[in-house]
Amino acid sequence: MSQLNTCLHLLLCDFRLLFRRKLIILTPFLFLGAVIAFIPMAVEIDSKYLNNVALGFLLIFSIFVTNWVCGDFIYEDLRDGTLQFYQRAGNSSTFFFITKYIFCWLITGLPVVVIAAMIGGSQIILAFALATMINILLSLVVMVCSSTIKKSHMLVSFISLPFYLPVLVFSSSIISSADSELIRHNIYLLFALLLFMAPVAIFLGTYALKNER
Amino acid sequence: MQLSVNNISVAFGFNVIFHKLSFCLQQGKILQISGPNGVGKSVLLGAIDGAYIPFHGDITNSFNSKILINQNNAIKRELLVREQLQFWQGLTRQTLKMPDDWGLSELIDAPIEYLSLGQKQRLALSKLDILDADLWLLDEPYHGLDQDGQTILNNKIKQKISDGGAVIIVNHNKLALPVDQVVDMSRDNLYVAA
Repeated sequence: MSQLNTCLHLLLCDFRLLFRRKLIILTPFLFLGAVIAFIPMAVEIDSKYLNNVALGFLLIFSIFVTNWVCGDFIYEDLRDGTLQFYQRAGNSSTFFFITKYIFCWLITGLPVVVIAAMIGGSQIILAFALATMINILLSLVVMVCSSTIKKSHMLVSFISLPFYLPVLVFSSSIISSADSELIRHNIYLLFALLLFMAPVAIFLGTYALKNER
Repeated sequence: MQLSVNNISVAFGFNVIFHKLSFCLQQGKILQISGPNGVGKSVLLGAIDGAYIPFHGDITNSFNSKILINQNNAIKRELLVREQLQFWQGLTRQTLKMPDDWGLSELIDAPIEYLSLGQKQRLALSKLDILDADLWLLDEPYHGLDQDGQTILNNKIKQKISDGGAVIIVNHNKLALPVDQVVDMSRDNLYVAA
């Protein structure tokens, strides 16, 4: 229970900081809005085609926004001594990782899911919820590992790149098969991927945080 | 309780920061680390804290808990002083109590980004009260502090020593405290008992 209270404090502080650094979250979403507004000028104005393009674009955007926004919060906590103080106070690194994950999903994943809900149906919402959860999990592990292994930023980023592919493949299959029966199978695959990745990512993230220097 | 640093050597890549350094610190003692810039005083403190792993020698620490105060102070400049203290106390599962000793009560609703260097240092040092540790590792703790702030810190250190703790201070100047040991890193890592 006390560990949960600590996590709530961490979450509250992050939201407070986010509120005072509004531009960090507003900039990528303004960029998204601008791109969506300009796309019809560049390509044909066919609503179904634009719907498909928008969903694909949203998927790529979710990876981009996670790395942009969450990186700022994670790196700062690792660099300014917050993580050290948190660990020194006898708190669990696993809870730190999970709290940061929840925070990142709430500020980047949830808005993407809400935008997807405006474009697609319930299965698209589910698919985007799963895809953003996996993407954020992956991004968070990459951030924490690349911060821990200081001289291997690029290496960790390159190694992690292929792991985004299954998410992109299955999610784009969901978008292309939105009207067919296949969509359910792809959602199951994404769900299985999340179930597999969650414990692995939490283990890796915790290990990296414990060894953060 | 004691801290033993036995023949430790720390390097960044091929660059050896210091070589075969040894000392021992008992509870109730103050140790000062001095030396010119760049000799590795902060790195030594970091090694004791566990941030750097020596490639030679070992460190044995029987103190139950330790706290390092350095330039990474876990301070978020967008927060108010009260919010920052609430955050730290929340992480240590304490109920909110303003550390009046550090003269922060007047600044409680001030944004941290508007604080002076000395006021920020007082805020950082107030963590010593929030996280009750046996071993204090203080890297340039007097930096930016006025006379009043220095007196407060010295009193806190004396209190910690009388409570059975131990303090390691990295500082260039002579301290206004009864220092028990000095590690002078400028003279070929010589260990000197004061």
